[in-house]
Parts: sequence; structure tokens; C-alpha cells
Amino acid sequence: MLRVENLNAGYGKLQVLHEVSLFFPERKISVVIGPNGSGKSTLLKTIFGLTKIYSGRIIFENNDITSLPPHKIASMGIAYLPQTNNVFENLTVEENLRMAGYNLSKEELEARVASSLEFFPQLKLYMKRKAKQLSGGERQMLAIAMSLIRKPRLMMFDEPTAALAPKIAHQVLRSIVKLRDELGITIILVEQNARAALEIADKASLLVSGRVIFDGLPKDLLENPELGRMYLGVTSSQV
Amino acid sequence: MIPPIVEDTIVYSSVLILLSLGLTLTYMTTKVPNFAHATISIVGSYVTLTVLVLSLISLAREALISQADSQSFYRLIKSFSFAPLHYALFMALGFLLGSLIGVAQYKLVLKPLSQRGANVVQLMIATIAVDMFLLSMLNIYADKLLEYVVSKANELSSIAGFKVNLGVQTRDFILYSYDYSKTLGMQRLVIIAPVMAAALLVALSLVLYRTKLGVALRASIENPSLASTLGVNVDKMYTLAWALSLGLAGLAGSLIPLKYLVNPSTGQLFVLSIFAASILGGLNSLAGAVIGGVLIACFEIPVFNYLSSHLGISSAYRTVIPLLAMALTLLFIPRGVARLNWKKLFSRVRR
Amino acid sequence: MPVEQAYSFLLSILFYMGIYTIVVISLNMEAGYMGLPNFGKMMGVAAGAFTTSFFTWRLALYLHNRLTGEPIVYSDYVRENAMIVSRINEWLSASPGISLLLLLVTLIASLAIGAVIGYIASYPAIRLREDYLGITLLAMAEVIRVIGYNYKPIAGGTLGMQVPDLFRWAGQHRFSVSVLIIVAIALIVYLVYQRMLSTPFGRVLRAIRDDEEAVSSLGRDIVAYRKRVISAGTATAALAGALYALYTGSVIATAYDRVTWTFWPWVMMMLGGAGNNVGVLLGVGVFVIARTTIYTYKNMLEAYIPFNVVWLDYLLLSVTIIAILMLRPQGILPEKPIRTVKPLIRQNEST
Repeated sequence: MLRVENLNAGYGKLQVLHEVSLFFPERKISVVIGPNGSGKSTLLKTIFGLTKIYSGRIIFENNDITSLPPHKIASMGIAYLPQTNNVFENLTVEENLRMAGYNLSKEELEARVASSLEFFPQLKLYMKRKAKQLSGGERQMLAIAMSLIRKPRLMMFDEPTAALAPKIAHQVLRSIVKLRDELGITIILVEQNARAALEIADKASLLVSGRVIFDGLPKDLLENPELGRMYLGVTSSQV
Repeated sequence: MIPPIVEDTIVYSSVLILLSLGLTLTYMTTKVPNFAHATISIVGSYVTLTVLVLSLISLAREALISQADSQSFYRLIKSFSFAPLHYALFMALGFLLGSLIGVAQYKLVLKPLSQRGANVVQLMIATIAVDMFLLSMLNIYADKLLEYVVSKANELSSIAGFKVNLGVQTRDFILYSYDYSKTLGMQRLVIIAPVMAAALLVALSLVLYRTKLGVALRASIENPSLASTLGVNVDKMYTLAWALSLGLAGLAGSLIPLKYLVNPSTGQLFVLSIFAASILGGLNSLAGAVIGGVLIACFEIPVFNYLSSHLGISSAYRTVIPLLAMALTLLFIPRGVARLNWKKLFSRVRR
Repeated sequence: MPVEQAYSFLLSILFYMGIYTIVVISLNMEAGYMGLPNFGKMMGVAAGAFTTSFFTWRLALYLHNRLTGEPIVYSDYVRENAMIVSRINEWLSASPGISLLLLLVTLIASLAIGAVIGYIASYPAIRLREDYLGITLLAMAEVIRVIGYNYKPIAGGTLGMQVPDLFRWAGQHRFSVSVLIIVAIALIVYLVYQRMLSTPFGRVLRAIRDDEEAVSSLGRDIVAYRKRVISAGTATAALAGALYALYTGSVIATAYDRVTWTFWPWVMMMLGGAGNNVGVLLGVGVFVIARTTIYTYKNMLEAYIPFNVVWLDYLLLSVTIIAILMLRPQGILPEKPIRTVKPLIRQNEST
């Protein structure tokens, strides 16, 4: 569904991604892992048009989206969920959801908010509560719910479980799996929490210093002791 | 009969609330305290003066057409009092002019400078420059208005056959007498000011919390990048915020000359009181702006009055109150009263 | 223009350039080098002026009474201020030695008081940044002015006070001599600052401005630097205030306002280019010459402008400031980056 070809990108004069080529298949969860500073977040930002692209292409469903600005990319059905700053803290949950559907007609908005809430029924209890009063996990769910209102076909998550307790992280990951299973959304998941992410992955890539070191099945990644030791802190014997 | 100090506090706090609301709102958008805020409100004061001048001139013409003699003419002029139409007119025009200037300040000065990467200090200096510009404009207007009044008075004098003096001046003016109501036995302002403040507060709250536009405005203020990815035109929202804020300033300013002496540079005298009110309330809270406005007004009038009469401090030191409030707030509770964690404070005090 | 007029034009320019060079050099150290948004610059200038108005005539009176044996008698030193000072001046005009002694003592006292006030003013700078710090310093400066305006012993309260003429001994050359002395002092201040800021001290200030955390992690006590800089800067400005008061012969608190003594120095600094002292000279020069020229040719300009020339000043100034901020915020002479050792090594390597 989304292909990245020989991508070289960075911030201003600082190049972060080097000749990155990856393919993210439809309706699958593709996980991108790697140590700090490996360019994982930059990859997502680049796809979303937030960085400087020196060369290479980004193809989404046969459309070259390489030079499109973020709001155009968003309108093509791609959603980007950054780690922080992804909800309006001082607005209530209800207001957040309404803002997510800012450009929709009233009826359409109501319908989509309703279906979004079906996906995250816990949020129904907090409609009048300010987003900043939600816990970390609930906030992530709100961010995902807001994203769903735009009916994305591809969702890119940047370390959604960072700063979450393991149990909550698990819940968030499970809801991501639900997104794939129930709504057929393609997922690109960037994670620091490698083991948990690989458990739900259909496909895995390893990025180190802005280069693709591994691209294939999660199990192969986990079973490779060399890679495992150096970059994951987990070997196949521990899995 | 309401004691003067109560009247004073009511009027002053109503005006201060409207002004600090506006200042806080503009701060929340551009993160810069706007030094021109007070002078823009004085533009509203001159709107009121202009309405008065035009009304008096037309009244004078009517009187002369009906062949009045000098005595009855002056009786007529002196008995002029603002009618509801006048209040509506100068408040509306004050609001309008204020918002136009506010939008101009945002679009022509602050927005382009922000886009060029100006830092907070440079933006502050830009607002000071805008303040000076408006000050010159007001001075020029005061001169021109006076010229107009004098030339009309001469015109009318030659028609009347006696010296016509409308009794208005364009500097150091105070319009108390046109606001006094015989039937109420007091100034109408004492009722109008708090009513307007309350009404506008309610209106603003309704807009901000019950309309789609209002929610979008609050979202844009809080997280402009997230709002723009959701399709909000953040620039339009900021423009709206500036229009509202300075509109309120213009409206508040239109009421000021009904009780206080006004000059083009009057803004310089109370701009720091407005800052103090916003800062005390917390520059990022609208509710705080209201609280701050009430508190500063109470400190400056009743509290200071008590202190000065009991401790023998000259009343000229009243200006120190907002300055102290500002400095102390920034030093000890920088996020203002609205964001104070009251529970934490009480538990610490209890210990 | 006739020679006499040209000469007094020149003197006027030299005077203002001297005074403002002292003020802006100190502001440049605080804001340009160290990044401290000192919107309370006026504090130092007022401190110097108030020290002069409080202290100089009292000391002169004491010396007069001791040395002449004909004590001057008075009951209300504010109302009889003119009489007292003119008697002192008569005596001083024949005693250049005493005059210069008084000058020296006054300047030292101003430096001391300025340093103390600066030290107190440095406390907010420990905890606050940017706009909050700027506003707090502004408020502190206003408080000092209010006190100076209302507390009679300092500067005669609302009436102001005359100060002894410490240059009267120069007779008909009084103005030339005083300007000469002021320019000489300005030159000394410039050289001292230039020396001080081209040592590692200056580099540390710039480093603190650019990245405070890095500097403090390298073991430098940022707070101590701040205290030093603000104390020195305020003391220096006090010097200018004292000289200004002595030249003009009187002190009235309203003359030490935030536009003239905080805002204009900022404009001069920005115009010339912050962060370097030559820029300061440039900025002060351009500003003073432009304003003096406009002021001198005021009458000629009247023909071309549809309004009172008095307002042209602020109008042009405000537009110029915004133009600078938009088009060339770094000023005429931008700061040169600090050259480090590397280029030399590379040079050596290539040979």
C-alpha cells in the first residue's frame, strides 16, 4: 500500500535517513524498530511531509506523494499520530472528537463520532472530562479515536506506548490490532518497546543510523541472535 | 445613595475586566503582552467624544434655527445628556474601531514579524512601537477635532449673533455631566459598566464553549499545529481573537471618559494596571483575567483607600499597587491565581 | 545656518550622544551580550538623577555653610529650592575646585546607589526569563519613578528641584565645558566596556545568552554573572542620569520616563546592532542626529506636514522601529561570530 524508495531525508542540512527502501503491505501491521536516533520517527514524519526530502520517492497506492504538504497527505487517508501533543489538553473529550471532524457536516460528524466511540467505549464515560485529566493510556485512545473520525486507510503510530505502564501499553497495542482486524486499516508502528511490538507485527524492519538493516518477518528478526543482542536486548531464547 | 468609593470600584473593575480579558486573549494567541492595548481603548474614548461633539453641534444648529437667544441656547446646551441611542452608538463604534485596529496590528505587524522569526522581546518592542504610533495618531486627531469644533463654533456664532461655545475640549476632557441622570441621582455608568461587562462575559463564554467556532478558537490557541492538521484555519482564528479582544478594549474605552479624565496619553497611565490584572489572573486563563481584574480594582481602590487613610500613605502611591502585584505574582506565583493549586496551598499552610 | 546656531546644534548632538552612549553601552551588555531583556533601564538613569537631586545640593550647602561662614537659611527646601540653589551657584561659580570635587563625589555616589539598586533588581532575573523578566523590571523601574515623584526629599516631589550648577565656574563656556566633560566620560565608559567585554568575561555572557544550560553545566555560576551584569549596568546608567541632571540643572521625576530612558535606548541598540559596541555608537549617533535635526528644522517642516510637527517625532520613530524589525532586525552592524582556534590550525595544516 505504501512504498518508500531510496529515501534520503532529514532536517535542514542534517541528513537522517539514508537510502531507505521499505514496503508496507495493505491491511497489515508493519513494525519499525531500532535504537534511539535511528531515524524511526523521522521516517514517519517524512512520509507525512514534515521533513526535508533530498531524494527518493514515496508511493501511496500508485500515487507519488513525495512532495505533498501534510494536509494534502492527510486528505488522502493517511493519519500520523505523534507521541505527544496529539490531543487538545484543555478541551473535553467530546470537544476533541468534534474538532477531529472539523470539516465534516453535522450529520456525518455525529455518525463518525458514534462509530469511533463504539471502538473505544471507555471514552463514553469521559465525554465531559478535559483531555488533560485522562490517564496516558486513555489519552492515546482518544488520539486514536480522533484519528478514526477522519476514516484513515493508513495509520502511522510514533511510539504510542512510550511512558505507559506495561498493562496499559498492552491495551493500546491490542486496540491497534483491532484496527487492523475490524476496520482493515494498514498500520505502520514505530516502537522502542520492541518485544511487545514484534508480538503483534505482521512484518518487521530494523533501522540503525538511518539505514535499513533488516526487513522481513518478525520471527526472523527475533531469532537472529546477533541482531537480537545488539539492538533488541532480547534473544530468541528469551522469546 | 451609593457611596462614591463603591461606585468607583464598580466602574473601575468593570472596565478593567473587559480590558484584561482582551489582553489575556491576545497573549494566548501570540504569546506577547500587547503594550498598545490601553491606547487602543483610548481610541474608543475619542469615539465617545466625537459622538458628543457631533450631537452638540446638531443640537446647537436646531437651537439657532428656532431663533433662540443666548441664555436659552446655553441652557439647552448645558442640559444635554446622553440618550440610550448615544450609548449604543459610541459603544458599538468603539468596539468596531477597536477591533479594526486590533486586526490591523495582528495582520500588519505581529503576524509578519512572527513569520520572520522575531523573538518575544522583539515582538514586545513592536507592540510598544504600535502604541507610540497610535499615540501620535490620537494626538493629531485631538488637534483636528478641536479645529473642527472651533470652526463650527465660529460658524454658529456668526449665525447666532452671539458667541457660541460648545464647552468641549479635546484634551483633558471628562464627560461626567452628560452621563449624570437626574432621575437616578447618579451616573448611568454605574449601572451600564457592570451590566455591559457581565453581558459581554456571558456572550464570550457562550461563543467559546457552545459554538463550533469557539471550540476551534480554543483549540487553535492551545495547539495550533494540531488544529491546522485537522483543517482549522488557525490564522483566521487568531484574527478573530484579536478582533474580539481589541473590540472589547474599544468598548471599555468608550466608557472611560464618562468618569475619568482623558488625554491621548491616558493609556500610558493605566496600561500597567491591565497587565497586572492579566498577570495576577494568569496570562493563560480567561477566567483568571476576570478574577485579576476584580482583584486589582479592589486593591487599587477600597484596599488602598483603607491603607492610605490608616497608614498615612499619600494617594499618589496608588500606582504602585498594580506594579507590586505584577512583580510579586511573576516572582512567586507566575502562573497566576487561576492556576494556583489551592489544595496544595492550604495543606502547606495548615502545616 | 549661522555659526552660533550651528555650534549649539553640534553641542546638543554631542551632549545627547554622550549621555545615551553611556546608557546604551550598559544596555548592550545586559541585553545584547547577555540576553537579559532589561525593560527597566530607566531605573538606573532615574537612580543617578535622584541621587544628584537628593545629595548634591545638601553636600554643597554643607560645604558652603562650613567654608563661607554665611549659612543659607531656609524653612521649606522645596519651595525655597530656587533661592538656595542660586546662592550655592553664586558661590560655586568662583570655586572650580569645590565644583569638581562635588562632581566627583556626585558621580561616585550615583555609581554606588545605581549598583545597589541594580543588585536588588537582579533578584527577579534569577527566576524569570524573557517577557516575564522584562515586565518585572519595567514595573520596578516605574515604582522607583513613582517614589521619586511623590517623596519630596528625593527630587522635590511633583514640583521637581533644581540642582547646583557644577560647571558654572566655566562662565560663558559653561555648556562647552560640560559637554566636553560628558563626552570624555562617555569615551572612558566606552573604552572600559570594550575592554571588559573582549575578555573571556564577554564571551561567557554571550555563551549564557545562547545556551544557559551548557554554560552552567561547565561550572559557571550563572546567577553570579547576572547579579554582576545588572549591578554594573544599572550603576553605569546612573552615571548618565547624574550627568544629565547636572547638565540640565534640574530634576523632575516625570522627565525620567520609560519612553525616553528605556524604549529609546532599546531602539538605538537595535538600530546599530546588538551585541557589539561599535554598533551602539552607530545606533546612538544615527538616532540622536536624526532627532536633533528634525527638532531644529521643526519650523521648516511645518509647511510640509498637515499636522503639528510635535507629533512627527513619535510617528516617524514608531514606523522606523517596525521597519527595522521587519527588514533588518540585526541592526546596521550585526554581531560578528566569535572566532575560535580552529581556522588557525587548518591554516597551519595546509602549509
